Amino acid sequence: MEVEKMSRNVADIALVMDQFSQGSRPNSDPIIERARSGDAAAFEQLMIAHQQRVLATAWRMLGNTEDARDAAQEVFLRLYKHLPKYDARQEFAGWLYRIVINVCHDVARKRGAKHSSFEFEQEAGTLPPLLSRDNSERAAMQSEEQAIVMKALSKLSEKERAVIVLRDLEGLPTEEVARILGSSATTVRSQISTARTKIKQYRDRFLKGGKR
Amino acid sequence: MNCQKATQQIPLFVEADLETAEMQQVNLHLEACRVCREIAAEFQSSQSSLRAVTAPVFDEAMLTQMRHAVNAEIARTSAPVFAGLSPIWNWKLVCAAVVMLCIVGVVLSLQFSAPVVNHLGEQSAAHTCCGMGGVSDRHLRQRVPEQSAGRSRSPYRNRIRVASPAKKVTRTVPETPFDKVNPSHSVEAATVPSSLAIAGPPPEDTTSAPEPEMLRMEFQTADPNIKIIWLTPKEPTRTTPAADIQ
Repeated sequence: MEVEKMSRNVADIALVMDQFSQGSRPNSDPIIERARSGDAAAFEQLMIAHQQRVLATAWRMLGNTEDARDAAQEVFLRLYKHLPKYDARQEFAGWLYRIVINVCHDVARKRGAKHSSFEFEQEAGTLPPLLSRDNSERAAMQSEEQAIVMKALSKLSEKERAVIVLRDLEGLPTEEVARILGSSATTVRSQISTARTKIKQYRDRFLKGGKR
Repeated sequence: MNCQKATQQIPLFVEADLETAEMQQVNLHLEACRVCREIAAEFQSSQSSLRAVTAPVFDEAMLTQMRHAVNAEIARTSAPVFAGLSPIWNWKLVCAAVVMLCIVGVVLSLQFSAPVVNHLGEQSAAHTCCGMGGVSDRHLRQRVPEQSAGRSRSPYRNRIRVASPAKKVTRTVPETPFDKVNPSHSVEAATVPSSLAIAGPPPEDTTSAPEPEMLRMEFQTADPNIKIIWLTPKEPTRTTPAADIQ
């Protein structure tokens, strides 16, 4: 009996994760419906299904694990609070992304002075060092480029970072990004163009200049 | 398409964010322009670096801790407000609420039970004895001999003058014990209507010593609450106060 229940839960989670990644409409998602009606176990499954994605998006927006964890916690609290008001006609993934972006903006504003959090992660050793003499030259170059790009991300404005994270890192279509952020596709395209240009310029300055 | 226009479109071209027609135009320009082709290659390299940014893998312990924190917060916020209070606290709250209601009730009752004020600006005779109509007969009996003497310099110096019906009644009652209660005691503009009522003598008091027969006159003012009662002996007897003798 327990095994059957567990296998059903695993199947539900797999279904939700599949919908989340594909952006399909989860109108008949049993977990969401049960969670909406106050089922604590269903909400737990919903958290398990989305926690990695929520944390990864929050980490890309905020740049460090501690803030990302706090943000993810707040995201799930808001999800629980607003789940009864969720309109099943809209995509759950987009709705959840909107909560994540809003929470990350709030956390970033609260963080204030500690804005350059990507540097903090490097100092803490979470990210690979910029230049490692032990690694091969190729690995060192990749590591350095990644660090530079992350630093460039941290220099973007909140809106520019949001469109880059959603469009380029999460791989959402431009129209979906516009829906999530509540703006037009034209505006999002303009912000994407500006953000990509800034990242490239920042990267060029460090790589072509031969210095960090 | 010129290079300036193509350079503006390249950041979107590299990720196919342009319309189909624009994509074809930029593609045609890149085939012909080496500089713009190099710029596009740099953008593609930058985008490859961007996509290479991967979030760290979050361990299960951290995820479990996060879910437990969320569940604990949900349980805390969804609990009833008074769930953590003991029954004693509930009774205390109820008692405090009752006391507060009583205080508010007393204050409101005092606020709305102010004395009735007549058109003369005085308090109604029905509520206070400061008006002439409120003066008791016993007090009047004490004052009547002094008033009837008229010329005596009584410390009370009460003076009641009834000129004629439907005329003003002027009364000055200073230095009486009532004045200490209500200093604004002088009555002006009390109009005596024509229905002036002169009553007969009051019923005799069988318990007290024989007194001179008194004439009782009642004046009904325009205000139904104010009635002027004047008691005077039928045959004025001259009384000489001790002060006058000296």
